[in-house]
Amino acid sequence: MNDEERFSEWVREALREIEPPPAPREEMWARIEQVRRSRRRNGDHPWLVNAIRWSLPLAATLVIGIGIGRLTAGRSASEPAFVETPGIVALPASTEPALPYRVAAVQHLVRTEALLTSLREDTRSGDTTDISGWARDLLTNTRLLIDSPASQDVQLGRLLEDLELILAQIAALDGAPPADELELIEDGIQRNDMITRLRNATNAPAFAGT
Amino acid sequence: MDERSLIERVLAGDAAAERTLYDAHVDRVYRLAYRLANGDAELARDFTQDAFIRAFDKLSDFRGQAALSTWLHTITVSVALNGMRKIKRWRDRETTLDGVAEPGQTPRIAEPDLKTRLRDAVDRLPDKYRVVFMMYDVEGYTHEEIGAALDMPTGTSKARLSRARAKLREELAAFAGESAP
Repeated sequence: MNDEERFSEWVREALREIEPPPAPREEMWARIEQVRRSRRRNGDHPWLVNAIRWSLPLAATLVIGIGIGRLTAGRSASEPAFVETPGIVALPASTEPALPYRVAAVQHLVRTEALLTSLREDTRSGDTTDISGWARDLLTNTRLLIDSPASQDVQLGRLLEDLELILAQIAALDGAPPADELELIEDGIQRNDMITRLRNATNAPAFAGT
Repeated sequence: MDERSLIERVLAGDAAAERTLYDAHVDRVYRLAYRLANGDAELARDFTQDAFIRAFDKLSDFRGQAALSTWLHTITVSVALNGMRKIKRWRDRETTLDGVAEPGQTPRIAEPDLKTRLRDAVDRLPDKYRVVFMMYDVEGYTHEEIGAALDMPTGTSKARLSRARAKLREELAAFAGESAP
């Protein structure tokens, strides 16, 4: 056993001594059931409940998004109110309950794409204060959207969850991070094909109806 | 009952199946949450609850590409790391306020013991290293399990573990000289 292995064994043993207490199964289950019961009760009109809960922090984005949507819809009365492509149908604005969230999501994804594409340029100076602050703001909105009806769209939900991890890494950058930190983040962006997925999401026919 | 049938029953609204699924996984989820909460039992309880609530909410999205346990551990890591980031921000703010000493007063710092130093050193590891270290070295997950739970190649898991150990070694070098091999 070499020095590193001996050291690791010592650390492992010391930490294993701090044995977790038994899981408080019943207490946790009671809380889980309570939350799930409450959600089922609100299930009669979940969109309304969630809209109230999530629309406040996203209000600014929603106002812009809905405004754009109305302008687009009002361009011509003869234009169809929805776009239909084989296999994908975007519902008319008035009948799609999650529409405001999808509009908010598009606005959010456009901003996030801007951050990811400028990551290397913005970190070249060695000062990551601006970009980590920007990422923190986007991270907050990403989490709001993950828990909003927008993520009922499976692909969008997955995209938001992948973004959450990457934005969390960028938000954690501090001062002049080592090159390997940035490489890991960029590797994550490339490995998950984030830029292409962001562009596809914001150009998807389902969003064109907005 | 096999996992697929259990999931189908949960999705059909079978409350007993929900409890069976919970019982089958709660201990390991709680242990992982406890480690990622740096030994705080209350936080571990909150993270475990949130992880199961989120898992039940999203169970219809589970496609079965990995084992259900792996999927649950992915959710647990995500919930715990997000939770810990919030806690750290609050604690940092509190520390900033508490750290303002009265004029002429010298702050007294107690000499921490080995376990406290070790826990602090682990707590200071970047999340990506800490998670792998806790899962592999402390909880005994394999690199394959970690790779699946964190959606990364096993090579990355190994590299992060090695980096975590090196960082801990650096942090504890002085102290380890007296107490460690």
